[in-house]
Amino acid sequence: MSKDIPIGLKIKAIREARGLSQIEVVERLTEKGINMSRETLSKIENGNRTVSAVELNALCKVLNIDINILFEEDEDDDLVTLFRKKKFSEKTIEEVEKLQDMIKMFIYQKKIYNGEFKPQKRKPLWEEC
Amino acid sequence: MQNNKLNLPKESFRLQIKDLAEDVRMKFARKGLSDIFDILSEAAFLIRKPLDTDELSGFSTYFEEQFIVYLNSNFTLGHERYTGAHELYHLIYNADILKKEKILLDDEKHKAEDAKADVFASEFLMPEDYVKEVFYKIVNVDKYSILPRHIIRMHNYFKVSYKAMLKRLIQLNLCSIDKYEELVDICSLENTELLQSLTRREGYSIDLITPSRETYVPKEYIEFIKTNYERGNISYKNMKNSLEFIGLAPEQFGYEYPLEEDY
Repeated sequence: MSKDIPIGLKIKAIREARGLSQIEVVERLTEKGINMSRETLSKIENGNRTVSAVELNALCKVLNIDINILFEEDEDDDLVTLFRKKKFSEKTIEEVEKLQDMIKMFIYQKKIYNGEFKPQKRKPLWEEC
Repeated sequence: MQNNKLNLPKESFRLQIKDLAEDVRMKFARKGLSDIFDILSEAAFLIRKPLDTDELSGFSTYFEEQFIVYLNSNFTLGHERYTGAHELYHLIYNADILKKEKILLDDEKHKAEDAKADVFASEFLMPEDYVKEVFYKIVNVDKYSILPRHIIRMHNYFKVSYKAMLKRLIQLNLCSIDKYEELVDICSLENTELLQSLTRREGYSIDLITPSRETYVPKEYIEFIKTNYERGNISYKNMKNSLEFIGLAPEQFGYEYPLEEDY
């Protein structure tokens, strides 16, 4: 999983892969002494709220994952590493990095669109307003 | 002057690649596609974006199970289109290498494939028979009498750079190789303004000899972002950040700052 995908979405993808609802996760967090509402977890997953180190640690325990997975970068798929190996200048590497962020963002949007990431359903925004 | 100083391929090699270029042109013509950018959009995820570097004209990659072609629109449009045709060769004939190695850049290991891609680009954008037909229609002078304005007419017709057209005319023996130094001088950096002025005088825009600096991603990706937001699958902030990459903003699509999200 790429490091440029927001952590919240990685948490969401792993939670769903485990077949857990947001309610089940917050209940398990409570058992570990972390009080978090379902709405807060939803905000974290959607990138609308930052997650503290304590909460992140507890979430990793509940989801049974190594915290490092959330920060890992897949080197084989990393254009910056490949261009650096080809001895391009630092200026070009910086530009490739920006380009790669853009590519990742679009692939990530496509995956959400195609249902490869299955975000928790929220009410459409126009109904919430 | 010798052909090899111009880096022109041997005729047997050129004819072999010409067949490949014709096959590919036919394949996309059947879908009604002829413009190189349209073809690349069909074959891969095409990104055109100006990068602040002249070290990179473009590249193809296989990234997260998807073929991607990137073109640097900071180069002139004619140069960018040539790079696009070069990358089309890699996409079609080097797909396995791309899948395995992710990128295929100028290096010893892939020198032969890069040489083929260059010849392919020339054959693809400037088909031999059609170049000859157009030449006799809009230029029609002997190969020792070619002037810069003739090259300008031809390169605007085929939407390639001045230099690429000049080399092609020499390769097809429509222009004498002895005229090369004299004719190529006008497309040097020092003569930029002169070439622009001559181009305008011939009645053409200077689009091909200036960078478009365009940012392009497939339209479907804008729809993905909008739909993901409307379905409630991504936040306003995420939509805003995603659109910012291509110089767009949520307001342009009628989305207002949502009250329920805190920042």
